[in-house]
Amino acid sequence: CDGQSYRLQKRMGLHSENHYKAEGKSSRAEIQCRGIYADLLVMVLLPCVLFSLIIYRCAYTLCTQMPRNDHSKELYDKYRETIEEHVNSMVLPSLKGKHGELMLRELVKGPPGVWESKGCCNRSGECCCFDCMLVFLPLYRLIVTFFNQIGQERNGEQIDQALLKKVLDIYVEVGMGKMDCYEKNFETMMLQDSAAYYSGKASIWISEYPYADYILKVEECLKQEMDRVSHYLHSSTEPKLLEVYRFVLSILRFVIISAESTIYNMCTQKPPHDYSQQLYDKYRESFEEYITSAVLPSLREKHDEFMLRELVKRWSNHKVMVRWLSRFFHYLDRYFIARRSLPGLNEVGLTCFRDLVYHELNGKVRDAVISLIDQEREGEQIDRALLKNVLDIFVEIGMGQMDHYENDFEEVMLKDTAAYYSRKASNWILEDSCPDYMLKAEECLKREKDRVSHYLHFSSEPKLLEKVQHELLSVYATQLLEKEHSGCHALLRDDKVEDLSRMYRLFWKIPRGLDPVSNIFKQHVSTEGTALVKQAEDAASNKKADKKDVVGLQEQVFVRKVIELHDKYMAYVNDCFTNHTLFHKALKEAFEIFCNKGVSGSSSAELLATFCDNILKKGGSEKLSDEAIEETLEKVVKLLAYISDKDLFAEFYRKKLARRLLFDKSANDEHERSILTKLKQQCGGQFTSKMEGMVTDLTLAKENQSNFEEYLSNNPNINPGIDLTVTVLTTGFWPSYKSFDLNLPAEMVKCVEVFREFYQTKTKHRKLTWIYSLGTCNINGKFDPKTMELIVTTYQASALLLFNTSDTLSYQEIMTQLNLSDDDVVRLLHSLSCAKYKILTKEPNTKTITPTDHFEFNSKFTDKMKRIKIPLPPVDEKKKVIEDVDKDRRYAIDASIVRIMKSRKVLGYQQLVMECVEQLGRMFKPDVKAIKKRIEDLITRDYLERDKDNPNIFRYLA
Amino acid sequence: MLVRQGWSLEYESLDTGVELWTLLSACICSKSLVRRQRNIGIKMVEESDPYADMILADGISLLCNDIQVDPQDIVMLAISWHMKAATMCEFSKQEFVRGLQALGIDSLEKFRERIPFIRSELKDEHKFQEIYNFAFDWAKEKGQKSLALDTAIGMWQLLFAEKEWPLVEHWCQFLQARHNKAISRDTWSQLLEFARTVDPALTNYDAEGAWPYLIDEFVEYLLENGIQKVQLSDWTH
Repeated sequence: CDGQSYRLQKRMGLHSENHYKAEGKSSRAEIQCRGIYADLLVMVLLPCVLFSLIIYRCAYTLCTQMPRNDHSKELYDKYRETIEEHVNSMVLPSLKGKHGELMLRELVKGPPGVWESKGCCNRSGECCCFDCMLVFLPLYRLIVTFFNQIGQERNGEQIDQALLKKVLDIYVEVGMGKMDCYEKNFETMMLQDSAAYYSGKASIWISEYPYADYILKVEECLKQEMDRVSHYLHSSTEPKLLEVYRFVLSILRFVIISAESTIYNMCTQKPPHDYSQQLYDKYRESFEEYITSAVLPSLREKHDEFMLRELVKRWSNHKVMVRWLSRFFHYLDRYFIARRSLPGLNEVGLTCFRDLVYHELNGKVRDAVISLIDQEREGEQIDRALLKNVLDIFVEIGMGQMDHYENDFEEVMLKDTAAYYSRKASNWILEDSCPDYMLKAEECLKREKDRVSHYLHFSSEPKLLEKVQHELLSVYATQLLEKEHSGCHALLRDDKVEDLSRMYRLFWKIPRGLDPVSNIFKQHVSTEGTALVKQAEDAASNKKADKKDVVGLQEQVFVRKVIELHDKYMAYVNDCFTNHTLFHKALKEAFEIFCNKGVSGSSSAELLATFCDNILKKGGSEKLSDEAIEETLEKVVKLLAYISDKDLFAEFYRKKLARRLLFDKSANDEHERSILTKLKQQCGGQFTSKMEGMVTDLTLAKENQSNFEEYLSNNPNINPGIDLTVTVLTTGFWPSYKSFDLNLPAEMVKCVEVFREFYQTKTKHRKLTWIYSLGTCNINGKFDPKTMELIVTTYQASALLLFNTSDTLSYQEIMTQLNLSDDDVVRLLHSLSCAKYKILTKEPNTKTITPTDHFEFNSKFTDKMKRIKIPLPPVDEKKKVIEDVDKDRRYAIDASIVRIMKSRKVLGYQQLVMECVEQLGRMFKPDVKAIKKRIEDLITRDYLERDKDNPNIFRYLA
Repeated sequence: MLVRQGWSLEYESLDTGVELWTLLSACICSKSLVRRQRNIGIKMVEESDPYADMILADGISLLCNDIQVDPQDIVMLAISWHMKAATMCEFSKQEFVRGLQALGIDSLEKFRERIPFIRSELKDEHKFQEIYNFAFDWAKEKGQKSLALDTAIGMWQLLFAEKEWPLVEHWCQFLQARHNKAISRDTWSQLLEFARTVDPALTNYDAEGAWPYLIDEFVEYLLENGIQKVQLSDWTH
């Protein structure tokens, strides 16, 4: 009944399939109900012949409907499910329940419908059925049963050969055209079983039969096996089976010879009849004989790739043989070998191959492999799998050790590789440009890496790559990097970002490979920077000849260019050189080189401070948006890191900041604070504390001023009648200013007194020092044409007010009345009598001031403006700033030395200098000579002494 | 006279010979003579004079006469060193007496006999160093930390004539040309070290060493002027 239902299904399926494929064919049948369809399928499973026609008809109608009613698909799926269900529910349980021959019969009987459906049924139906079978069948039982059957036959029993044939057909058919299933699941094991069987048999026969009989027996066995193949084994098995058979016999031949006529006592006898040793020796000899008679000749007559193929084949055969034989002689392994601590059978087998085949051929093999590798390097297609197998031999022959692979193959291969690439590189370096060369090198490295992953042993990768890198990169590094028109310099010059990245990637892997690259980078950057310095220098000297005031602008441009340069190469470091510290260092050093050069007499610290001033002050030369200003300031602060004289910058910056704050020139308070924050972040709180104090002072001063005004309005009797604004600054925060005792005019003296009184009310303990040189005055000049308002400095105002009491004054009179130095007097008189506005007339009327001059109020003076500002050129402060910084440095060095010595007590000179430089390096780069002078000074002042015995050591004197 | 000057008690305890009395009386007589001449017209007793128990310049020249030594002779420095004299051209009573005691001198004769021995001590490396370092304090103005350049140069010429340092003239020239300031104790003592350890061709001079900057500059000066080569040939003659 089962079979019937299968047939039915098959037919139904046939239709379903046909119509499923030919969708769209119309039919008049009108069965629509799914319920009916389901019922029908249930009926399909009923083992009823009578229904078959009806079901067939139903299925036909189901499949031939209009598309929307077409159930072909469902039917198709159901078909598959049905089969699976059938296998699971009927076939498998029935198989599991049976054993031995009965099981085989059941297997063969069970699904004939399925086998027969082949050809007219859909492939997937078949497959799923087989899958189920194979998955659920207790495969090992099948095999065991099968072998039992063969065993029985060998023992002379009659078995059902047709049955076995059918079972094996299943194996073949399951493969659906391929032999995998048969070979894997059956043949291999069958061969092993045969080998085991015959070696067992042979040992018995040899002891039971005389030689001649034994031979007959063997021949008979051979014939039987041949029959077996022709009757039920697959024809492809024949040669394999024969080879096993022959091999087994060839080993056993020794038994025939040694045992001659009597018994094969093997090794179980008591000495002197124990043949273990002979057996063991014979085991080896049989391999040796086999190898010399069969393997070597076949290998010797072949060459190159063919030899490699043969070798791979022979090796895999050999391994199989060794496995089998060592199983046959397992007894030896267990007792004899263990007792005598001889090499194991497996080892002996491999050693035979190694000593006879490998040792003879390894050179040849290696050369063949290397020549194949070289062919591949030249772009030819080669059989990579073959190489992989050959190289595995080198590894396996070592039996756990890599010696053979390393010594016999790898070493020579590496040498060859080196030679190959050395040859290539020597051509490329001459023919190719640096970028092309690097492209090739990168490609080669990639391919070598590929090579390792495909067929070399993984342990070769570092060695191989190292060799290639050495030949391609290390050897020619200098030549490559310094190629005149395409080397590293040129790449940097032409902004070849990609090539530079490649260069980094390549040289990064070589030990110290990046050093020359970073050196060139450093050189390049410093050359560019130095060129900027030179450019600025030239421009400055040219401009000086033309017009003086443009010089500032020129320096402005210089700082801008330096910033741009920094941006550009910082991007290189980040992108091309992946932020490698070596390149950060190179960039830093390069910038340090030219940033500390200074342009036309101005140190870069000063230039930077001036640059900041220009950005931050009102009406500076730069017109920038707030964001741009922020960004620029950020960059300036970054540049500051490269400047060693940070203290000098601080001093200049403070001077400029003071001017901005005191003369109300600061454009934006926020920017002032923002740059201070940035400086603080970079250079520490100590660096900016004074500057911050200055900004705070100014805020406090504003408050103070409004308090003062309130005070005046509360005490009208003391009001001096002049508007007075006083900015109180904290000593120490601000740059030091000269505070000469200028003789103020009486009116101003009164102002000063009033303010001092006011200030006394606030605090008793503070001393006010007046710095008149920073003051400005607005005074009215009653000239004959009109009255004008003059904006002058306090010095100028004091001088002018002298003329309220006398018409003419001599230079000397002015000087004594004002109590000023010659320098100051000359400067301010020049501004009043020789500059643009001649408020005073000078006698004699020359362009310079001499101590013999006389001055008179110029009542005729006039100007089209009502309000004019008479500038007093500021004293050049640069020298003073530098001197101040120098003095501060001496203190700083002293403090640092004492600090170090206080903690160390005794210290060598070199170390002291080193630590001192390190401590002070954040602010400036102290000169070693200066440190030495300070040390000597401290010795004189008894802070330190030299060690009595070693003048290079200093001691701290508490 | 001796009794009046308060020396007698100590001399009794010294247990010295008659000749020392003579020696001392010679010295002290002359010194007192000078004192008296200087204080002429002033009613001042010897005891209140701060120099009352001092041998000063004139005394020393008399002493030199007696022991037959040139006052400019370097041996006088060595004698001063033995006396542990605080100041050049002066011996206090205590210094003088203790010095003679240490030298085992109790007569002019013995003093004269001792001179060659004292002179020989200058050849001793270690003693020379002590004398050299002693000379700084001995020669400098009291209350000053450093030694006036002229004095220093004089001392060096005296000392290195004994020690034979071929660069001494260049050193003095260099100081006058480039330095022209007083010499610190450190520079003073390090110069001897320099003269002793660095060969005149400067082959073993270490620019990174802890030599005082003045010596560094001296080396620069020598190199600039190419002097050290000339010196080398002089030195080898």
